[in-house]
Amino acid sequence: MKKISLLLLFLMSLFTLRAQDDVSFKVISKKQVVVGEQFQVSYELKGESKKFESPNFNDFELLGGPFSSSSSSVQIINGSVTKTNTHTYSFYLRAIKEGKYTLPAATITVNGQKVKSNTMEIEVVKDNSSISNNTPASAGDGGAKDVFLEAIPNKRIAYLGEQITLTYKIYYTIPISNLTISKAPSYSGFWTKDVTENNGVLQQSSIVKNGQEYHVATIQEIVLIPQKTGILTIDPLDINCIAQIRKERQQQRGYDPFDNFFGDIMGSSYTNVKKEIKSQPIDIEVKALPTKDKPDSFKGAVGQFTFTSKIDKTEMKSNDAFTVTLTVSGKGNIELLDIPRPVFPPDFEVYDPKITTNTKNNSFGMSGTKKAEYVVIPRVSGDFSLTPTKFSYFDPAKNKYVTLESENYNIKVERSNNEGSSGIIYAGGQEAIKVVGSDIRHIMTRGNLHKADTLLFASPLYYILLAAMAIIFALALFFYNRINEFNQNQVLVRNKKATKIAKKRLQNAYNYLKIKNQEHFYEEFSQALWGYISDKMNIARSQLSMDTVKEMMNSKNVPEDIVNQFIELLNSCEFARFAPGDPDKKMEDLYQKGLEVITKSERSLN
Amino acid sequence: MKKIIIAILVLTTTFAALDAQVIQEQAFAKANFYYNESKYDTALVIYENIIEEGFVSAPLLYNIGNTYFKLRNYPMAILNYEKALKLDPNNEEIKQNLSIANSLITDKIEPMPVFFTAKLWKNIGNWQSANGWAKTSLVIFFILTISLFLYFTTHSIVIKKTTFFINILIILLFICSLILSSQKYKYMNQHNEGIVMTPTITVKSSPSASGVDLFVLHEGTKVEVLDHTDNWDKIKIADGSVGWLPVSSTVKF
Repeated sequence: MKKISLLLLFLMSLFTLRAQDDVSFKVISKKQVVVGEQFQVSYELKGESKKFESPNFNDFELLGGPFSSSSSSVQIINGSVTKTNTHTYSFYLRAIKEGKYTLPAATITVNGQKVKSNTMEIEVVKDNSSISNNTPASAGDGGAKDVFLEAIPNKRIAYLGEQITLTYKIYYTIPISNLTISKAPSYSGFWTKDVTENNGVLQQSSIVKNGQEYHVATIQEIVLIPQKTGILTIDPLDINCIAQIRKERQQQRGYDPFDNFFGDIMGSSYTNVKKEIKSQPIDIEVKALPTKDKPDSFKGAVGQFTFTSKIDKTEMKSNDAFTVTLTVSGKGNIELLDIPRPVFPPDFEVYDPKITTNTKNNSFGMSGTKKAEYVVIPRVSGDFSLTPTKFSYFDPAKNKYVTLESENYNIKVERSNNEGSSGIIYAGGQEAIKVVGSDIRHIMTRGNLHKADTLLFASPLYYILLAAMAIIFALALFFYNRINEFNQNQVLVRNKKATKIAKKRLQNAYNYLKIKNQEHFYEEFSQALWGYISDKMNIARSQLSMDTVKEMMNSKNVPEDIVNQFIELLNSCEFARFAPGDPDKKMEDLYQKGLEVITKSERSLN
Repeated sequence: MKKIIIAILVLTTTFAALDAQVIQEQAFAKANFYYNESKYDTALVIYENIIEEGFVSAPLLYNIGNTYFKLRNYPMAILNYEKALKLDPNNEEIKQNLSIANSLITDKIEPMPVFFTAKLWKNIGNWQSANGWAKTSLVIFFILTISLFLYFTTHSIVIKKTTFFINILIILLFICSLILSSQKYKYMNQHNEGIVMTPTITVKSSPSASGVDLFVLHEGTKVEVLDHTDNWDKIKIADGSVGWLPVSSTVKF
């Protein structure tokens, strides 16, 4: 039993030893870094692991990590198999300030045992080779900067769509070569066009800046057209170059005795150093275009432009094609603008325009011409006019919108022989009216204004009018009845007086009879008879005749003999009036008969 | 003496009223001029000022609607067209522009079919404006008095018989015109229609924010207000759906 336990103990110790042998946990890093440099620190573990505890990097800025990765390898040597698992935990750090630091140890649990990695000394040195990491503004201190890059925009405040030229210039006092752009900015928010004119050869010139003479070369020129408003930041441009630097031993990194040696032999003390230089970031404020007085025809053109139109012919036959060309030329965002589409008469067949852009780019910006060529076929004859097309742009220099108009063309289309037979379009010879556009109906010109809330119904005026009409109606009826009544009375009066008047007239006639005035006697006598009937029957004298008299008397139930006597009297009276010369005797007789008839009929009429 | 003073007072007030009307008609013409010059903002200010001065007419509201339309404010355009149609229910131009404006808003509602007699009665009612019907009733009443007068005074039996039937007919017509007038009068005085002015609003099942969401309306849609509490309107839309909306989300007319 004891033996067994001893054996176990031995085996276990053996295993642990073995495990200890297998596990190696160490830190891997650069020994020397420059201030501001990013570097990687890895903790590498060979063997199986469980729990990794990150160390605290107090003296560095932790940019990322831990990122773990693992690999395994299997080795077979002379039949013995060795399997190795490697786990790496990486950190990305940045050195903050110079000095000597210790990379701390990390802890990991392997087979239930905590294992610590080793620590490592790391030296952070001052960066003196890469000068241009800082802005050129700080370059003034005693000409410490021998190479730097500057980004120069021609304006820092621009309107949306206004072009900006950005020039990258490199300033250097030491020879440089192998310029390569390592990272170009993304220019987000801008439409860009590289307008560099150097053809790969840097044109250098000299300039005194900050009290030091620099060589200057333009590396890149870019036209930027802002596509959105707000403050847009242009990221720095990164450039790598090889600079020949005079040796300053005590501060050189990567000191090479051979180089030094050869440098001295060759009579020069320069060394080639790879340099990474950056331009400063630039903020550009992009203003929105003013909304005031913005014409409808404005479609985003910003700059200075001219607008022309051309037509190849204005007289043609139907189905003959002609070409209308609209040209916009000038300085501005010519590649981005739209040429307005002219309005053609609806009977014209218009093909999609052929658009050609011809731009010239230089450091003053983008300029050029944009042409839209329309091929148009008039399908019917007639006189047409092409209304001018409007093109608007915003002039940032004058800070206002400008609208240009194309020419007005009058087109005369003569009837061609095959107009009717072109068939495809006018199959039926008739066509429905083409709706060219739709809009609301126009405003009304007559106001017919009235005071609000003047409703007639249930208003006092309404009731007054209703009542007034009712009252007028009632009054009218009332007066009508009164007048009627009055007239009735009048008739009655006349009726009553009829005999009296007739007798008076007969009396007059009798007087005439006495003085033998035949004419007046008959006149007065017939007046008496007719007047009597007229008053009695309430009929106007003019409406009376022999027939009506007879009719009226019959209707009033006057006895037939009296009626006949009456008529006979009237007849003889009329006869005597137109045939005078009757004896007095007859007149006397007539008078007596008249008296008798009137008295009789008076009796029967009442 | 007193009579003369009253007469002068009446005359001056009438002239003052006429004078104010002339001024507003001139303002109207000026606004029309600006509208024709496409200066819609200016035109709108003048038109609205006429309304503020207490004047109104179908052409004025129609022109305001047009101005809002041109300014692309379709809900306000619809509101003013509807107001104009209320004053002049049979105007083709107003109807046309209202339908165009209605085709440009978000909501397209299939209207509920109306029974044809109701439709007929509504159409008859739309022959005339409210004041038109009131005037018509007065004219019919006038004709009625003449016809009645004839009936009472004639001696001819034929005329008496015909005027009797004519009178009955005219009385019926008068009653119809009275009913239509009073309906129109009520319609003009009640403001139970509205236009949704909020860009988008959810119609609730009950007059509270916690009510169930029934459907969503967008600006420019016409609703009929059936009932209301302090802050909520019970509304009905053209397809017959009913729900509750906050009072502030619609403008009544």
